[in-house]
Amino acid sequence: MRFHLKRMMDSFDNVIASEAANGTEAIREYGRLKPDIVLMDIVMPGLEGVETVKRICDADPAARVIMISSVSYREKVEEAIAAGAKCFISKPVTTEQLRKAIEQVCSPEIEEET
Amino acid sequence: MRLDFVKIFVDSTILLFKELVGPSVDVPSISMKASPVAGREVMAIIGLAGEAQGRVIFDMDLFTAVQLAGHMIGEPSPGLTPLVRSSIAELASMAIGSAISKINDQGTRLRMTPPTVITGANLVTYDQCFETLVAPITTAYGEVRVNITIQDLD
Repeated sequence: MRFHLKRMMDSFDNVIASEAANGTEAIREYGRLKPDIVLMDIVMPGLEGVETVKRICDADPAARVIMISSVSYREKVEEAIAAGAKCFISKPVTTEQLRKAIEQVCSPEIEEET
Repeated sequence: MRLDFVKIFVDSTILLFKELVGPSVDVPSISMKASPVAGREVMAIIGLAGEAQGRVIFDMDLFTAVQLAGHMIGEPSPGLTPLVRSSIAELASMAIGSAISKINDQGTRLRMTPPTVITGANLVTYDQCFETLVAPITTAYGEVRVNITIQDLD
């Protein structure tokens, strides 16, 4: 997924996108780069997505995580939001959906809530 | 074999292919095969675990994989690049993830592993005691076989 998402992100203006191959790497990279946005799948090798989001958001409650996954049953979506994800998009995702989700989680209303 | 789950896997895959690849998607026949199952040059494998267990293998020839990935990426690919492998993995993951979501929403706890893509000639998969249901899906870019094995734990 990250190849495709990175291509989408690279098509946006003023974006520098980095990537991680698994949850452990994502946590490490988050601590190193403190990115404005994190895009996270649920199904990943090693540490799975919801647990990774929880660890990132526990360490930084202001983290803005967007979950993007084909695994989108109600309980899992609720787990992801409870773990700290600001938004959940079901795959397949379009560039426009991604752009809107990023605008949504970066909006002042969301900033005030966190 | 949980045929009710198999139907969800096949239906989800057809729906996704129609959305991503185009409307000319068909499943002419579905058959049951005993192990081993011979695969073609590109295989994406996803394991299933939870209240049922099994695995789903998507297999296709190299030409179909490259064409399908090129369609997903939006530009032709020169061959079996990392982006093509990633696209095939993603295609399998989206199809099975969607099916898993429906099954979980119906009350059965089922998880999937991340997809593994294997390429090569004369690929064969062995399952010790499971039969495999094979659904050949024809697309504008060639045939993708979906090989499904799933059964309850007991």
